[in-house]
Amino acid sequence: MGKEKVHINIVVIGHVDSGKSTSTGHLIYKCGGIDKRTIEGFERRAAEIGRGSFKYAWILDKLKAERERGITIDISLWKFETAKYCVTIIDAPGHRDFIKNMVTGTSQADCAVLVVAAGTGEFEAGISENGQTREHALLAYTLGVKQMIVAVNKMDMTEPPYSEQRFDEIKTKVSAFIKKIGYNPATVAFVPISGLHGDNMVEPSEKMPWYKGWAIERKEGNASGKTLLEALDAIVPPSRPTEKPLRLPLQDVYKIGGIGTVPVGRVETGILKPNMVVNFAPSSLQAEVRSIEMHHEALEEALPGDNVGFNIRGVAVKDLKRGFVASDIKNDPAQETASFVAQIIVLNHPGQIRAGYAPVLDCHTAHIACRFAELLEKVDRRTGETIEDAPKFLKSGEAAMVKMVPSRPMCVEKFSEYPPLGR
Amino acid sequence: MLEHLIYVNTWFPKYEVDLAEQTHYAVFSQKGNVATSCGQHVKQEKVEAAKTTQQASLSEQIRDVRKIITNTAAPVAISPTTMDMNPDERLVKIEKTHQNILQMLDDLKRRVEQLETNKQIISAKPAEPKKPAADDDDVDLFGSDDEEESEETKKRLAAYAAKKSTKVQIIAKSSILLDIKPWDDETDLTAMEKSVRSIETDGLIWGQAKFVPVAFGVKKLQINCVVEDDKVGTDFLEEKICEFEDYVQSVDIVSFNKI
Repeated sequence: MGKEKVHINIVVIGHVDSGKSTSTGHLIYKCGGIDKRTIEGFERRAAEIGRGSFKYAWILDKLKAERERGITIDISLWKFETAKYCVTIIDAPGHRDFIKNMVTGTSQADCAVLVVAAGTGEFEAGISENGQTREHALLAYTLGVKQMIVAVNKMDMTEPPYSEQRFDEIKTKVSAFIKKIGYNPATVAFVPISGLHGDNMVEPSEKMPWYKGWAIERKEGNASGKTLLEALDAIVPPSRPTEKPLRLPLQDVYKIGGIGTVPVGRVETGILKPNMVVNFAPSSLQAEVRSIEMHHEALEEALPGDNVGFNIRGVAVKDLKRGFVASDIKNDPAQETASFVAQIIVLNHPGQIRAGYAPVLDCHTAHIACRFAELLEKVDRRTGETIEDAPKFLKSGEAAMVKMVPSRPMCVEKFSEYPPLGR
Repeated sequence: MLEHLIYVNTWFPKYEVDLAEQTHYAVFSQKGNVATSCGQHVKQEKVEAAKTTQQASLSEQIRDVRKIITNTAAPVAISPTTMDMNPDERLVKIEKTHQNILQMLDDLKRRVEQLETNKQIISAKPAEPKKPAADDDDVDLFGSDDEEESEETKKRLAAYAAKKSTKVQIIAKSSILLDIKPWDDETDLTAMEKSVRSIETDGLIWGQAKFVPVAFGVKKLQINCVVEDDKVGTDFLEEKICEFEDYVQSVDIVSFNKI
């Protein structure tokens, strides 16, 4: 994978039958996410059994069967390249633990692709109360995925096929829906596609002459295009916070014979360099970085996003733990947090939540129980305006500012200063 | 001193007096049924009372029946105490009791039948109102909405029907790629992989694995698994894998994808 292209993460969300897997598979297939030999093999066999026009469906089925057996790791890490980016795409599963992983997971999605099916009745079912669409879209927004693309799929299944009227109807409804969640529809590209036939996926389709392309307005610059791929290319890349002070939450600590203690973690902000003296919050241990390695190569500096191991001296393995945060002692070092104010959203919780409630908090790599010391105010989920001061309790769907006290020493940072360490 | 009294037959109708007294009290305080368990009159009264309580609830009826049963049982227990009575009178009394018991049995039979019909009515009831409710819903959906809305609903229903027919065989599965980290460069990754693969549960399939270099010669195990969404959770996996604490330092989820 070349280093020249910026890496972005995309999460594909949508109702079970929206055809998001087909669309995702199609993109990967067309954009070189699957190695050439596999594809050639499939193409040949598809031709042999005379599937012709249905070969995509057939190939995607084959791929699905392959994934189901879990044989190839490369297929489970879905990557493909656009003109500008190297894209990792996540096809959001309906698994209940996925949401937790989306919250705590290491890779934050830069953009969400919402797939809705245009087929008769399917759109209505997908967007209904009990569909996953709502939950995922709300969660994506809550987690700070501020960019969105809406793919109106299965345009071949509308009545009549490729109906402009149907597309407009869905566009209007989805706009209202995502606006309710918090997205600005003007910044969202709406692309009519067919994941199965490939319309407007990579190449503009001729079947929808009425479609003049998508256009979005935003402060980072307006963009327009026709295909879904172009829409992906218009994503604003994540800013690499190299100019900020160093923050590196530890994932693991190894003891290596002949080398010594090696903590491993991902650089979230700032730059880690050899000879830097780092502090490990919430302890007051300090050590000098002797050398840095990523995979098996020595690095002169580690930048945000790099998963690195670094060799330190004078600190024993047992004194360092997962959840500690390494920072430069000379540049705003991270500190232990006695208490902090967190904005919370109760997604789904039975009954009421009052002060004293102590859930386990996942923050960067730390995993520590924190007590709700005080419910400060109930706020509007979207606008952030205060609804009620010092509420007695909270229910599902409500958002609030809460003062929290960790049960063990912990390092938390302000979201405004270090976003990766603040959620 | 009072021995001679045994032979005085003026005391023979004592039980009648007792009975009269008890009946009096029983009538006086409607609830005195348990205390006056030996009284025939009381029994009859109770039966009559029970007969009139057809409107009472099931539980009350059952309680009444129980009372009647205890009442019928009581005279049988009491009759031996009147053993030393005149045989004729005893016969008359037993006959009476017998008649009474027969009557009681009849009554009980009737009761049980009644209870059964009641039960049928009750069990039938929930089924009955459901239908009208469903009808109401449909009427609401189609009736109160605009033409456009009803059209949508129809569509939706059609979609649901179509879905249901295809849905049955689809089991939602996810592919999870895990990073399993050892303690140091000397941890035996092959043994670690073996241990991890030994975790078996319904709905879990282990896929391909490889060793990925971390830094300074340390490698981690990257292993793929396929889980059925409803059967296997990530907490379960992490917990089970971390149980091999001789090998495993920590587990991270690298990717989580729908299949």
